[in-house]
Formats: sequence, structure tokens, C-alpha cells
Amino acid sequence: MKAASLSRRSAGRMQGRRFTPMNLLITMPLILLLLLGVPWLVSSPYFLDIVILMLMYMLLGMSWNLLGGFAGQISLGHAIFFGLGAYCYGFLINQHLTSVWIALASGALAATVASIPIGILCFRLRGPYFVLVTLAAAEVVRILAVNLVDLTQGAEGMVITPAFGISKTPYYYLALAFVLLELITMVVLCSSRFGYYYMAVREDEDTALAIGVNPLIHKLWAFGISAFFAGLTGAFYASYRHVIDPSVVLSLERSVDILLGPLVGGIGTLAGPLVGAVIMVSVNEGLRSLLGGAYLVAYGLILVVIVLFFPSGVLGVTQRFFTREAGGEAGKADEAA
Amino acid sequence: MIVLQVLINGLLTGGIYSLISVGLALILGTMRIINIFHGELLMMAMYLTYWLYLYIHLDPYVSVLITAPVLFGFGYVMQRVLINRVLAQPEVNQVLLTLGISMALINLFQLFFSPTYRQVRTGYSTAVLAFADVRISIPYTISFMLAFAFTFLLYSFLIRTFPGKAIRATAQDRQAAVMMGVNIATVNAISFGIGAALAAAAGSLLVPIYYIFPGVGFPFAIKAFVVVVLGGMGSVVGAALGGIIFGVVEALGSFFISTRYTDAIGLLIFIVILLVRPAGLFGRSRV
Repeated sequence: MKAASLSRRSAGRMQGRRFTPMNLLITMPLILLLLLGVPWLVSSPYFLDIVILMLMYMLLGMSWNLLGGFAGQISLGHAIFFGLGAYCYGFLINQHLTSVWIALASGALAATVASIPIGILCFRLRGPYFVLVTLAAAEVVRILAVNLVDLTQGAEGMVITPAFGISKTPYYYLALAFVLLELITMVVLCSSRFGYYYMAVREDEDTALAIGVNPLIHKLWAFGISAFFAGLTGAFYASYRHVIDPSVVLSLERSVDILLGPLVGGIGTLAGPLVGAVIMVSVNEGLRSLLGGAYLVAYGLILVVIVLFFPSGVLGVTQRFFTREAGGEAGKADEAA
Repeated sequence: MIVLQVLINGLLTGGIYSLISVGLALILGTMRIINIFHGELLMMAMYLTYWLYLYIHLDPYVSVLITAPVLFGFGYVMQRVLINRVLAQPEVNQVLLTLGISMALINLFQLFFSPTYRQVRTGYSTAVLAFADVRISIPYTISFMLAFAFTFLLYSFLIRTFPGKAIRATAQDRQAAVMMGVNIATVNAISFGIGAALAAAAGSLLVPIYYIFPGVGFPFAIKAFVVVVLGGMGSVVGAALGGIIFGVVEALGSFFISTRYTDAIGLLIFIVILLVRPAGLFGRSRV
């Protein structure tokens, strides 16, 4: 019931109810202008850092959402690709092997390449068992990263030469460009037939196979594209933070952070990860300054509350509110579901 | 000779893994839900055992009699209040709910009881039995024996008693069980309680031989996840045997490769088995 209503909602979105060409033509340049002006509007480096963090979680959230929201494969090991991208970037830069740009691209590609064997293995299992095996795979990668000291400097962490100096502004534009790139990719991908393939796989793998959609192939595609952007974000993170600590980039907490954005915003929607990233990063920073060490307790409790009371995320809640206002059939059907 | 020593150590650790995994398999079998905070149940039982030892000098092995019922109650209530509400929801919500509980519990304990490592050192903590070159740790042996006894008790309960049969019926076919008059809600809550009680027992048995800290449960939970998949998806016997095999393989691996990779070796073996037998070692169906 829930899954069906979710798919109807996201299918409606994709048919362009919201994204009509006229709307886009008017609003997009305005939004873009506003986004380009952010470094002037936000003068404090602390707040610019938070904005960059939001962009990073948008990148990761969209990446997770393609696999978890559209293709229905819940990964608790997405930090693998984030960490891999970061380490690949760090290694190439520290060995003076390539330029910054090639290193960024290599981070993304390394994650994509790694996603193929990991995907082939993990997709042998379905449903809850898939979740478990991604969790286990992430743990293996973390232990390897801690112990392969020659490659990663182990638990001490890898220190990287800064790429674009100390100012945060270039990083902001870089992250913004990546977010736009990923958003366009997701919009194009999910309004193409591939988006529908992924949803068919999510709703029922056996039926998908019966109508000629090979679940494994399409899950691997979704995994690969998802890994590409997670790896890219990882490489960006490494260039921005200059230090890679395996307990930060490869921990379970990181994998959880990645999926919190889409969860809060609305899983399986295009805008969900964007909205969710803004909310989660703000809440996270707010809690951290308010509660200090206790903020992780609140974090866990928030997760519980969202799952129990707002399982369709912020977008689901607002959408239900608006459809109820309109009093249309859709609203009633949604409530029934 | 040293290989024999490694084998025995692995076997003894495997007993504990079995006990944790069996509880997880029971929950997975009846509710089709992954309990990510299974390790935190173990952690809470370890703290409880620690306090019982500290304040009333109760032997860790005896405290099983207290920790298991307490955690049974905790599990029962958690199932009724929280888990039950997401059983009909998509699995992402189920995973995230148990994950949220896990995070909240770990950090709550960290907040109130600090991340300091604690330990209970009993008179027999370092005692060994020596046969020629092979030395067998007595507390490990006791823990193994008790773990084996609890697993056997659970097995008899599932096979012989009426509630046990109701649990198995629910695991086999939920709808058929409802039609035969099984109260699913009660079965679910009892299964969760038993799962928690087994984790608690494992926690108490670990206290004389391990450290106690808020994050202690998670690595054990990950191993239990692996064992459950290895043993064939919700099969209790599979989980019991899988736990022992996991312990032995892990011990052999860390002996022949490196102790730094102890935690990774078991998981890698798991991946290899997954390639060869996706249904698990003792399983028949994949889902």
C-alpha cells in the first residue's frame, strides 16, 4: 500500500506536474542567480562551511536516493564509495600523479569501477539480506582502510595538499556545479525509461523480469551511477577538508548520514534529498551547538520519530497537506493509502 | 599443535556468536525484520552484569538469571511499542527504526556512563586447563557450555512446547498460522523478547572475558548478521552451527593471515560463501 502510493507520487512528479517547462524557465535563472550570490550573502566562513556541507549531503543524498529510493535497494554501506573517492583523490594528489581535476574524476571513476564487483556480490541477496551485506561490505572496507597503512596512512589519517587555497568560495562553486550536474542527471535519468525500469525493479523484481526488465542489470546501473556521484563527493570532500580519517569517511554513521537526507525529505522523490540535506545539516549543527555530546542521542530519536510518524518525509507531508486543501480525489486516495 | 589451540579458541568464541545469532535468526524468522540494535541488547546486558557484580558481587554467570528476564521484558515492550508499528511498512523504514534505536542507545550509554572501558575480573578470569601444549581457558569453556545449553533450551522450546510451535508456524506461513488460531501479535512480541534474552545471556557470558563499553555490541551484531545469512536466513539450527563455523574460521584466519584483520576475515569468508551458495550454508530458499 505504502510503496504503491510512493510510486504514484513519484511517477506523477516525473510526468512533469511540477517541472513544467514554463515554470523552470522562469524560476531556474532566479534560483541560479541566488545560489551564485551565496558567498557574498554569507560572509562568515562558518556559515559558508555549513552551506558547503549541505551541498555535499545533497550530492550524497541524491546518489543514495537513486539506488534506495528509485531502485528500492537500501544500502547501509554507501560510505564505501564516498571513502573510496576520497582516498583515490588523496593518493593521486599526494603522489603528484595527476592534476586536481583528473584526481576528482578518478575518485568518481574508482568508485564506479568498485561498484561493479560489490554490486554483483551484494545483489545476490534481496531485501533485508541486501541491507545486511552492504553493512558487512562497508565494515570490510573500513578495516582494510585502517590496516593498509602504506596506501591510506591507516587510522592516523591521510593529510592532503590543499587544492584551491584557504578561501571557501571556490569550493562552494565547485560543490554547486556538482549538485547541478547530479540533479540534471537524475532528472534526465528518472524521466527516461530507465527511471521506470528502476521503479519496476523496486516494486516487484519477479514481475519486472517477467516483462523483460532484467533486475540485476538495472540494479547494477543504478548502483554504478550512484557510486559515481558518491565517489565524486568523496573526492571533493578530500580536496576541501585536506584530511581523510577512516573512522569519519567509512563509518556506519557516515552511511546513516547519507540516507538521512532523502529519508527526511522524501525517499524516491527528486527534490527530497535536496530539501532533506538542508534540514538535516541545519538540525545537526543546531543540535550539536545546543546539546553538545548528547546530540547523537537526539539524532537517533529523530530517526525513530520520522520513521514512525512521517515515513514519507517532508515532501510527503506537505504534498498531502496541499492535496487535502485542493480537496481533490487524489487527496482522498492518498489518505486511504 | 598450535593449530589445535587456535581451533579450540575459535570453537569457544563461536559458541558466543551462536547464542547472539540464534536470537537474531528467531526475530528475523518470525517478523522478517533485521534488528540492528541486537548488539545494543548485548551491551545493555553487559552493563547490567557489571553493575550486579560491582554492587552486590553477583557472579557474571549467575547474573544471567537476572539479565535474561530483564532484557526479555525490554525486548517485549520494544516490540509492542515500536517494532510492531513498522511491520507492515517498507523495509527501509524497518531498518531505519532499529538503526535509530541503536544510535540512541549507544549514545545514551556513552552520555551517562562515559565511553570508558570497564572490566570484571573474577577469580577464574585467567584460569586455564592445560593438556600437553594445549591450554584451554576455563571462563571461555564455561561460556561455551552455557551458550550451548541455552541454544539447546531454545531448540527444545521451539520443538516441544505449544508457544514454540506457534513461533515456528508463524515463521513458516504467517497467514496459515493466523487461520490456525495463532495470535501473531503475541508470538511476535514473545519472539522478540526471547531474541533479546538470548543476546542478554551472551552479554553476561562475555563479561568475564571481554571489555564493557557503549559501542561493544556493534561488532558482535555485524558478525551475527553474517552468521544469520551464512546459516540460511532465519534458520535457528543454521545460525547455531554458523556461529561456531564463523568463530573457527575467524580464529584460523587471524592465525594464518594477521590478527589485525580478525574482524575482516570472517566477513570476507562470508562474501566468498555468498558467491558459491547465496542461500547460505544450510539454507534452501533465498528470501
